[in-house]
Amino acid sequence: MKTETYEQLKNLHDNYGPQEFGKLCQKFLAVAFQMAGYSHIVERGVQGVDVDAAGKKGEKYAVEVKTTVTKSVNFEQKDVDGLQKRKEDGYQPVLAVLRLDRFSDWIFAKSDTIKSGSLYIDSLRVYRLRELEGRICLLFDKAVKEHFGGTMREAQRYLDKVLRQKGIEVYRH
Amino acid sequence: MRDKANEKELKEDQLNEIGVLGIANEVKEQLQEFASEVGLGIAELQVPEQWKELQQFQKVANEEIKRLRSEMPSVKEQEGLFKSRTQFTQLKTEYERKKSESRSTETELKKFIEENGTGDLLNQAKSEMEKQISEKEKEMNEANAKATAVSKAMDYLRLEGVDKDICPVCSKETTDLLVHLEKEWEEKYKEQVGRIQEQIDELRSRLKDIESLLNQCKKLRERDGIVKEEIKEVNKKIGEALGREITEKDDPLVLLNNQLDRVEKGLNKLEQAVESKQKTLNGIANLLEQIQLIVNILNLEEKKRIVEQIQQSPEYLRIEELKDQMAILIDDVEKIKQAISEASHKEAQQKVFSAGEVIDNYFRRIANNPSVNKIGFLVSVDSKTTRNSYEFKDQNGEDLTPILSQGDLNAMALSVFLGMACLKGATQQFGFIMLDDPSQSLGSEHKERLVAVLDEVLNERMVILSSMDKELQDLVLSKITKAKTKYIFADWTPETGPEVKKE
Repeated sequence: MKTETYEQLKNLHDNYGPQEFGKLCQKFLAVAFQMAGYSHIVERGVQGVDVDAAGKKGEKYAVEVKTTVTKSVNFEQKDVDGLQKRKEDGYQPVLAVLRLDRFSDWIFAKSDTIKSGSLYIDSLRVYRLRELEGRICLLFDKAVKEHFGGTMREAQRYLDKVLRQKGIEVYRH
Repeated sequence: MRDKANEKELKEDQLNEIGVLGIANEVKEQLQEFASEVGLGIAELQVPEQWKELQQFQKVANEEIKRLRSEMPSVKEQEGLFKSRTQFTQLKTEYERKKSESRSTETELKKFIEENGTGDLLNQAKSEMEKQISEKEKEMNEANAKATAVSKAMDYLRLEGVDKDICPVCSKETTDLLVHLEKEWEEKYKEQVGRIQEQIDELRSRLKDIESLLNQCKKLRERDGIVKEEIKEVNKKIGEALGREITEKDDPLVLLNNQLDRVEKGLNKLEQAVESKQKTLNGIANLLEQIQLIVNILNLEEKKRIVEQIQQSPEYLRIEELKDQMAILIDDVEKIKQAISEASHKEAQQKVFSAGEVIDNYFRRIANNPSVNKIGFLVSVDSKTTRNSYEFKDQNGEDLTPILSQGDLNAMALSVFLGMACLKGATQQFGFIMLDDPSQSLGSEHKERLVAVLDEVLNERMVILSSMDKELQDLVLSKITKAKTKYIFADWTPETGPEVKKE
């Protein structure tokens, strides 16, 4: 993650708090998938897996998004169940974790065999999808840079507008 | 930091090297112009070619602003006037104080004279009083001389054997002379001397009052003289400050007030001029603050670039790779641990299954507890330690541990150990077993039955047993049917260990 991205995310975190920050990151991630050329993207602010992204070559990812400022995340059973359900529909289940830290970046981990519980972020390195990380992380920086101002002003409302404009399906409460 | 830049009215396109150097040049020009305007010289200000070298420029410019603030002529003049105002105000206060003191002394003196008269009059009264006292004292002496003579005559006539009718002074005979003298003494001399003495006392008291008044008068005059001298001194100082002589015809207070008015007018005029100059310098100082802010922003940007370079460096990427590999290693180790735990669990279950009957047999023989007819084992995995955990149940499936005595528990431990040790096959690699002090908490009967079991174990394994228990030693020597050797460990020292003797 670029230092500029880190600073902008930190501002959002400080301004909106950890819960809202998680939702914002999820939406930025959906934008990044769109930028990466994924054709069918779904972003859910409701129950279920956070982001679905399907590529033209047939690759399909179901992404559960977790953000934290600590060294671990809580992967709940409902997350495991949600991802398992998407796997049955042909999606690769992915646990995407972002630690808000100057030297951190997204970790995309294949979550097929990951059990629920408190997970030490570094332990997810075993399941990393490096190629997907390589494609998405830089675009995530770009997405944050492009939409930081609007997000600071209007938070989720702004990003939902952006997502809809980009043809991403958005489900909200 | 960019928010601060906005507050300082900096535009986004100024937050770079060109912008900051442009502001530095502006500072240089404005400072030179200002110095020339106030007629002062200025240190050479060199605007560097790179923002990173601006520190020296900022330092010099800040020092120059500070210097110009204090050295510009209007400020110097202002300082002089401030000093004069302080001096004149102090002189005015001092003069007024002394004048007030003088007026107060004069009033007091006047009141004194009104009430008590002048010093001359008081001196005259004093002389008069002294004269009267002197006359009275003379009268007193005369009266005293007669009184003394009468008194002495009375004393003489009171003596025994003296003719009471003959006068001791003139030898004239007078009937009842002593009675006559005593009567005269009472009626004439005593009253006369007392009266004169009272008059003298009265006169002395009045003299004392007059002397006291004279003293007061003297002090008041002295004080009046001192204050007048002090006023002369203050006038001299005022004259020096005003640059002219102060004569009796002058009113120093008015002269001082006039001078203070002039100073005040001068200060008011200067204040506006100084304020305007300081405002110009504030503007330049503000530009320097802008420079510092942009330098801070550029420094931060530089640091960010360095951090990003580090993140892109082969070393950092290699560390990331190593972290991944380390995570895989940790995961592998965890998996191995899990596999070992599972294998260990299976092996333990197998052993318990194989040795279960033997252990049950040994326990019931050693413990001989009538309430336990059969013992069973369960092997589970401790969720915290992932190690094997053993549970002992009785014939009804109840947990045995809480109901067994210490001796029975020891019997249980010995049974498990001996039962497992005697297992045949590859799970037991050694041809011997070692028992260290096995008779703890065991009663005599327990020990006897243990020895019987050991005799049976000896069919499968060699037994090495150490014990200080004499009873157990005797039982082993007398009841074990197999060949045995006894070693005695004695005279143990920390340096050499025990001395081992074969018996």
